[in-house]
Amino acid sequence: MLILTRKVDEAIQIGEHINIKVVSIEGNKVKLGISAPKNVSVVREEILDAVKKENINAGNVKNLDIDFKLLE
Amino acid sequence: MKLQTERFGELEIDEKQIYEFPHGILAFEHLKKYAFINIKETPIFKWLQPVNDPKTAFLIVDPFLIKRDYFVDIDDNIKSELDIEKPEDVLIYTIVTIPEKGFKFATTNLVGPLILNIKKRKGKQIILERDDLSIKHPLFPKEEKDAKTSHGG
Repeated sequence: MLILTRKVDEAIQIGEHINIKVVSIEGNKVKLGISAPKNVSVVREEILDAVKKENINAGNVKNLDIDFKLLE
Repeated sequence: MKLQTERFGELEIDEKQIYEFPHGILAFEHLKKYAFINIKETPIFKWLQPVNDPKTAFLIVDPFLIKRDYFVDIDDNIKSELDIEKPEDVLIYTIVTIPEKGFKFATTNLVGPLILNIKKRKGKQIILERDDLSIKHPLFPKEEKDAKTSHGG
């Protein structure tokens, strides 16, 4: 992993089309501005991990005793 | 073609009905071909069965019937990835998780909906970076509340 230190308003360029700028810093929170092409997905890592975990749980569904009558 | 599944046994599937998910779905990126299995009791739920993994299956639901004001922006990038030409070509489903406690406590992932092009038979899971949505949105909030109160708190 490449480790860089940036101050507020400084930026990092990744490849030709991705740019990440430090917009502000407040306590232990860093606000980042991200410019990327629309076909590059930008998501918070914990959300990505949480969706993966949820997919894995869901894909293992064993209980076929599903009462669809519970629907209104 | 014959499709082997752990839950439904051997199924006869029309190959032309199989959907391509070029990126699979998250955590299952290697599974790129899926069949949709209808449920006779209701059109609101379906099963999404990977063609190449008999052990895995996803129960999916129409999210707009679970959350009335649910919306998803289909941007140009998704349109081009899935070859979407008209809004009518798009169907959206969300994956259901059924916990040990049972179907009454089932939740659906509104943050990671499945976007389908029903005309071209292509699909993709996207992530919505929105604070108003939950990965574990209860399907039956009333049931959950009733169950909690009946246990005396």
